[in-house]
Amino acid sequence: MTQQENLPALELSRRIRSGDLSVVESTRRSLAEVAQRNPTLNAFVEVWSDAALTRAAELDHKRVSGESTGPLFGVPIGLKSNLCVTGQLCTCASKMLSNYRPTYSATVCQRLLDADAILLGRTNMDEYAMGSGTEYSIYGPTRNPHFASGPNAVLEGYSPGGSSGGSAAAVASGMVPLALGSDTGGSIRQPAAFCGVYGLKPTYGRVSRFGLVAYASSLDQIGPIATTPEDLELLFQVIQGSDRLDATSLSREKVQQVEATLGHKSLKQLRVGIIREHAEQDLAPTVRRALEETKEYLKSVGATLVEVSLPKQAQAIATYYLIASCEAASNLSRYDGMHFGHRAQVPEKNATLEQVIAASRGEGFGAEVKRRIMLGTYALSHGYAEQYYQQATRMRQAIRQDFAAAFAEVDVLLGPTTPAPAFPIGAHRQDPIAMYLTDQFTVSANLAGLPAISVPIELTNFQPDESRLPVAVQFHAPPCGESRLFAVANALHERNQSAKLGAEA
Amino acid sequence: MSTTTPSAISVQTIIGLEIHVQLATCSKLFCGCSTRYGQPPNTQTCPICQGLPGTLPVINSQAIDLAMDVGLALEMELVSGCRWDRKHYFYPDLPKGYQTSQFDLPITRKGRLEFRDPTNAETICSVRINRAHLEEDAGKSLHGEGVDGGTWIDLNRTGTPLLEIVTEPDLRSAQQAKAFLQQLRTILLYIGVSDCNMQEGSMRVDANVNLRIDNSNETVATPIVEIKNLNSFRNVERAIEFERDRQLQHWRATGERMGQRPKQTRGWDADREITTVQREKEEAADYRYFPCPDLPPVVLSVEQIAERRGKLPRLPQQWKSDLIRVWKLSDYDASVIVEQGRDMAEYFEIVARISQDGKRSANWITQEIMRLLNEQQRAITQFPISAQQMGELVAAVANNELDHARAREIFALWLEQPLSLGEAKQRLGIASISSDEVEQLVADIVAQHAAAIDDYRQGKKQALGPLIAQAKKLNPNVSPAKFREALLRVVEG
Repeated sequence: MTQQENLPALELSRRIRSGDLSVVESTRRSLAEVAQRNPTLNAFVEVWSDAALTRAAELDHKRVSGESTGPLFGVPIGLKSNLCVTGQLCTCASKMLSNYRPTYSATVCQRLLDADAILLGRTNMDEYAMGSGTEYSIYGPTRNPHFASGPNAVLEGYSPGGSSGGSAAAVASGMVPLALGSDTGGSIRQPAAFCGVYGLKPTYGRVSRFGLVAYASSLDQIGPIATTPEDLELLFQVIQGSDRLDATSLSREKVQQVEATLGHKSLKQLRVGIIREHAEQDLAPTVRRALEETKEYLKSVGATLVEVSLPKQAQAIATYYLIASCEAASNLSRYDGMHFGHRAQVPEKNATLEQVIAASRGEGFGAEVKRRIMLGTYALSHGYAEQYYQQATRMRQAIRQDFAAAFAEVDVLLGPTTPAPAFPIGAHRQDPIAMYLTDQFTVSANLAGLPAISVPIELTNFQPDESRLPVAVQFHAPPCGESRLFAVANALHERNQSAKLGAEA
Repeated sequence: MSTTTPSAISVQTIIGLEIHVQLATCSKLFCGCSTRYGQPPNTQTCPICQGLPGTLPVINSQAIDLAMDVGLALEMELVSGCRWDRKHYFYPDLPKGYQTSQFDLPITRKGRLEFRDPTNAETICSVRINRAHLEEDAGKSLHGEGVDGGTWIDLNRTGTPLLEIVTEPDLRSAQQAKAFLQQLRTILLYIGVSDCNMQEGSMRVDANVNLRIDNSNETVATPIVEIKNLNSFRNVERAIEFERDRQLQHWRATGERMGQRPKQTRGWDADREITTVQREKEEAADYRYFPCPDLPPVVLSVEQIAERRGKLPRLPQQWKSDLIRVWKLSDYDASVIVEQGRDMAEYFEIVARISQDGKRSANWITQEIMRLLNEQQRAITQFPISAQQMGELVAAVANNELDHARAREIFALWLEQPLSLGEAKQRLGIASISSDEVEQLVADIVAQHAAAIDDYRQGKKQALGPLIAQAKKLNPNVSPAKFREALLRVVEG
């Protein structure tokens, strides 16, 4: 099977519906692709072949018998390992949950099934979604499909980014046209940027979090990863929508009301804000050029560029890591080895409850998870909460206000997704802060609850010594402004296609 | 209360209470599981109350309604935008590792409750309520019941809604504390927010106790002790009394004052009738409260509050004044009926409405019915005679259709058999008799008892008694009052 046959989901589903391809055939092709590429990439950590093929046969039967078909009919999808599916392992890439099988399905997974998708398996991630490289995993690191093999391969390979690195690599390598990730501080957008695919972090509350194992509840959102903006929107439309099982999910009326006030804008009418603070940062040359080329293109199609300021950007990373760690410390309290998850075998005959809990958590969690639990516990402790947690909460409010002020001027904001392209696996192993800084442009969207998209940019020319790793730009929109993001991404997708043709010519 | 001791100091007991009330919702606070008591272990759980990874809480609006009712009944301020906070500690019966509670923004705060001081009936005590907040209950650890005497966990209770009502330290004696709790319980039962069953743990009390000791030259306070988990009013009273004596003794021995020792938690040993140390607050956990990111603040609109206020059942105080005003009951009778609970008050109201005789209705209820219920340890809802029947019976007596003795016969029959009033009369041979029949009876009696009539005419008034009894023997349906009237007409005529 050749690379050209890795069809986008829309096209794949169209061909299946028209009878050109059966679901079983398509599923087999996907499984074959996984079998071929996964040993190098380690993007999938478990493939549900039997369940997928059984379901594929059911869907074929459904089509033949003339029943109506869902929007993702027959499309294979990869799920990040922190999404619950009844009876399937959900490990969060942690020893703590290595044998954990949920007794219920996440709302998003149920919606995928209702849309007639094929759940192909689960993808690698950083343990409990804490990390930016898909390296902190009991399954070992995932490799970025770019330069993972072939003449230009580097020894260890490049990181696919994280924490949804498995999902991004699975889509970028063509194993599946679509995957779900979760984004707490950039965990969809950063891997999408590193792997050269599209990734969306939806508005907080647009996608139900029910069945997503929580990392930081006020920041977590599930979102799609795809190779085209159309596919991205397709998957988003299937998973979004209010859910009575998630008290933070936005009601349909509320979304419609906000969407109506945003209105529809053509590219010509679009006012694009250039975030001054992002442009002033130390950016890799290819990232800077991706930004410049994007600006040139948007100007050429008639959009207006306006420089805007987000003065509190410098505080975003510190604010994010405080709030995320506090919520993580709380959310991860339930892993005490009592009701589910790893329980340590404590040798002492009369071990105290405290000893069993401490040993279970000590053995079950990896270093990065422990680091964040300790940080969060400290920041919430009596006498420190005011100084850290409360302070971070006030800063979060100020960051929100920055965005609100900017969106009074412009329709979308443009900036880089990451300061640099993918780093080699292991590059930040000794320096967690350096790893945290790869999220510096993505965390604000989570703090402010805004939708943001990472769009890969095909550069029109490269310097001879320059890295050919994918680069991307990021757009932010006001709450519920996803359709603006899809519109901009669609335009840039066309531009990318012609840039690619130009490069090949 | 103050007591003066021989060494000329006066000692005042300072008491504040924390009352956990299980709200009578159909389902748990954050999931759809049933809250029924006494079910087999772990049969009323779901992924949400089991705290499984990925689950989220959704607030039960019935719990909000009931908490609002308590706030309205205790004249409290309802807080719109109240928040949920997580209180962290590790324990196997707390599956999430935190309890979802309300820390700095409770749903309702600043109220008061008045009651009559049991030690001085002339005094009305007014206790300030600091706050009442919603929280979820933990599961149950069954120690020593597992294999090898291990601990088993039952999560049926996990997530059951509790309202924690916290008073200011305004109580001054164990008797006052008990009376306060009785009054609170009566109110909660009237508004139907909880069954307040203390044996089943749906009402649990913690008491904070210390002493204020007035020496001739200074006032000192002893360190505060919290007595946990008191499960009966008697235990509340006994534990506070014990603690008062213990603290006074300890102070005499050591002179220890508030601030010199951290707050102590003690438990009440009901068998030995003493309190014992559970832990010093110093070693207590840091709960690291922070706002629950999964639950938006609860907004209470003005309309919602008004609607709830409109639906609030009559409070006991209102019932009492209604009984006095409408049915002309004495303060005492009204209190006795109201204190029995809403079912009894409603029973009374039906009886009184049908009979149109409040006083007679009250007498029947407080004397006959309550005595029987007491003997049989039953509730009015289990009483075999309905309020409608009782109303007809009292009406018949009030209208002189029945004398009291015959009414009691019917009452006794009704306890055995569900009959209508007509059927019961027939069964007992009760029929109304005409005035001709009465006069004939008088004539017969006068003829047969000439000596007694003479005695009467010579001033021996009691001579008529046996005649009335004789008449009743001859015809049980005759009304003694009517017979006496007719007889007097003849002998005095």
